[in-house]
Amino acid sequence: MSVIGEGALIIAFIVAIYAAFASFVAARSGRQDLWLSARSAVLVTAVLTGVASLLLIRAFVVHDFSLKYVADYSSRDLSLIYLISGLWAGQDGSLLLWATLCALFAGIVVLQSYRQNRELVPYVMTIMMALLSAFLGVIIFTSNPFQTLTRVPSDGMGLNPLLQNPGMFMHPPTLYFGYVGFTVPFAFAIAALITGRLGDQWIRSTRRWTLFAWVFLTLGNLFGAQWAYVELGWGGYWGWDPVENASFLPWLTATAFLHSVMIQQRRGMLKVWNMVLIIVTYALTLFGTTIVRSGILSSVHAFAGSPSGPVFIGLMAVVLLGSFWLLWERLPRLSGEHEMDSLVSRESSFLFNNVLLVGAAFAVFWGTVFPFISEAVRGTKIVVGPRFFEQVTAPIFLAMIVVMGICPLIGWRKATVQNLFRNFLYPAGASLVLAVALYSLGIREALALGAFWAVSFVGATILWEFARGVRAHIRRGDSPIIALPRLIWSNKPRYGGYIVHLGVLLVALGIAGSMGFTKSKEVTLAPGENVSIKNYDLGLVSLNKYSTASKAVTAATMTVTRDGKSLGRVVSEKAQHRNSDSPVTEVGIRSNLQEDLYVILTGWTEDGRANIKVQVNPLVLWIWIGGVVMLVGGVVTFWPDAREARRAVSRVSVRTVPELGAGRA
Amino acid sequence: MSTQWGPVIGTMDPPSEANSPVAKRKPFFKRKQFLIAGMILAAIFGYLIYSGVMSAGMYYMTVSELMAQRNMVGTDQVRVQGKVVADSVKQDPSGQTIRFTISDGQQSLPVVYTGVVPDGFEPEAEAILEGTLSPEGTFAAVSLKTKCASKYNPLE
Repeated sequence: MSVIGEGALIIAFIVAIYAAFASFVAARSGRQDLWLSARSAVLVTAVLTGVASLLLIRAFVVHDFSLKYVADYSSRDLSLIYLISGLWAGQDGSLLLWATLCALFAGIVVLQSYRQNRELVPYVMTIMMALLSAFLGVIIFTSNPFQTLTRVPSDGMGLNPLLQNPGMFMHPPTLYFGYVGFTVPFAFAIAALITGRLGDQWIRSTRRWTLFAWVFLTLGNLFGAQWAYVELGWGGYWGWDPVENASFLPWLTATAFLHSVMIQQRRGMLKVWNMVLIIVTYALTLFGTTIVRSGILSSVHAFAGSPSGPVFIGLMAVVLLGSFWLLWERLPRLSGEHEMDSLVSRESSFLFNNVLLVGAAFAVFWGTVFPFISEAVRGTKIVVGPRFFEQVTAPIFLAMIVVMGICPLIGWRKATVQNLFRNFLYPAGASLVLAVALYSLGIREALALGAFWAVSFVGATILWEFARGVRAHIRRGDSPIIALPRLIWSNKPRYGGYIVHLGVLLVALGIAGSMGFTKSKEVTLAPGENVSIKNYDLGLVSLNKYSTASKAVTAATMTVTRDGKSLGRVVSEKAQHRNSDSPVTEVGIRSNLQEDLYVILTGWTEDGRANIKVQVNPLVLWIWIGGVVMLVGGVVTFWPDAREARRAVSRVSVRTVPELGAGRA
Repeated sequence: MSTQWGPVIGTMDPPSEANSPVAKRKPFFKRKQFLIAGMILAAIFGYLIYSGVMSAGMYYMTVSELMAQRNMVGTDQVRVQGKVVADSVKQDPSGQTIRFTISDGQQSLPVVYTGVVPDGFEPEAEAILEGTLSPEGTFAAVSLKTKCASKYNPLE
């Protein structure tokens, strides 16, 4: 079977190179037969990489330990779900997943554009197939997952127990869907630069891809945070580790891109800026894909340095230099059709939101690479800890939330005082009342107060907007129950966007609460002893050891009461897996909407006492709820919208009909 | 190949250009306005990053580097990395505090740490510590992390 898998990859590599060249020549010469052949070649790469991935999954499921990769990342006692996750447990398989998604997305683009985008798509395929062949080359020559062992072991080494967690099952693939998803808008942007079709055709054509990739990137980051929270057992969900930052950076620039393209679509401005954003976002996804494996950054995730590191740095350099050179060449043709009129307008609030996002990205990037900069400049390595990132980004994110509330409601071109009053008077008033109330309740920390004020202000603007829309629908005769869904359905991009914003607010609420107001205690308890924290009281019932086939577990069982009412028992464990040196902590968590009780068994003494760390983390549940709300909003914006379709069709027909003749001549 | 989209984009403009009072452009004034706003923002970003580095930056050293430069470091917080020496890990009777030694192959450093011990902590693991060096030469760590290898080796 390994021969078939490896063969499929090698053929896919060759076909991808052919497809890249054929589509390029077809685009240059207009030869239809060559383009038809290139299209088929693209579909062939999708099938072949898909087959290779399925074969690798099959090898995991049937425990084919003759494959080194399977022997390294699985064992017979793994459940089916974690056998499947073996595909992305290591570098070789992760790269294969990347290649498979890239080929699959390219295939979908080809099928989607049977009748449209005929000028752009051949170049899009050139870009995507070139990138695909680069990744397939790396896989075949340095990280082949189908490499076989001469001596087949009877059992594999198993999957790192830390990775045996639902969050870790979801985190890598969702992140990869996001990373690879951005290949499509990137390739369209480059195709637009090459062809000189620098209007918003490339943006309109990739709106769904951008949304899709962004939603998955968001989910990927949240799954990672959730995994860290329940599995790593240090009490938090985000540690500003370089690898975490590497997946957060493209999210920041992608979010900026998602918003600034609206300005180009509506007002024909910010064309160069949009190009820069998509190029930088794409380079950052490559950075995120490869940095984890490269050993370049000192990180708690760091793997041993791998030979593919330099190749990926080269690839990033080619992508960045090539893209910016092309952009430079086209610069004179990218001037905006309008100018910014006023600082107080929707355009400039979008620009401001962009500057904040990119500024945050720059600060995070700076902090991540600072050790190298300081070493290069001063000869000593200086690192900045989580405190740096919190200090720098907290005010930026705060401002971003406020802008998020203002952006969608402020008038175009130049906002009038009347417009400002109408949209913001009630929300601003209500949120100020809330902030004063919180202050009088004893919350004095400026940042936290600011965060709660901002979240409630923006939340109020959105709810106020929904309320006005619903009222209008009711006036038109809708029943109150159907009015809200009908409102949302009447303009899905807009109201879906609002729902995403509500999700962001919930995440922000959870972060503000858990950053500023966590309480924690570390104690050593003998059975029968108690510890109280806030209004909780925990009594250690027992500290006992038990063994299963794959692990030896030490478990601390505790009773929990809140305000004297029993909440039952909470168990926190440390498990020593038989095939791993280091133990794995299973945190005991009691969640409610108000706060999480978070219990870590950190160790034990020889006389049978348990070392326990107890934390009360306020509002954490809202982070995960916010993630779900963002997903729902994303689906709504993604859903086909009659109005949007009409708009696109009418504009395409007006624009591309005269183009076709000119382009093909 | 024509790249002029022509006036089509104009149909998307919410208010029409002609009957708006701002149609008479004052580019210089407008640009100046944005220039000032941009400069203020850049200054704020610069200040945030600078003050962040000043207050949260710390040296990242190997054990030997820390020993060689202990005078320069003084009582500042530093990050130091080294291998946990086998059989050096001792637990205090109170239970919460552990003592161990890390080494970079040339020099070794005794460490005292109170707090949560991460799962990857074990003899021979690469430990990343943050803390201060006491005058007696013991490193008082306030943070202990280990490099987790997603690829790990089974027990021999």
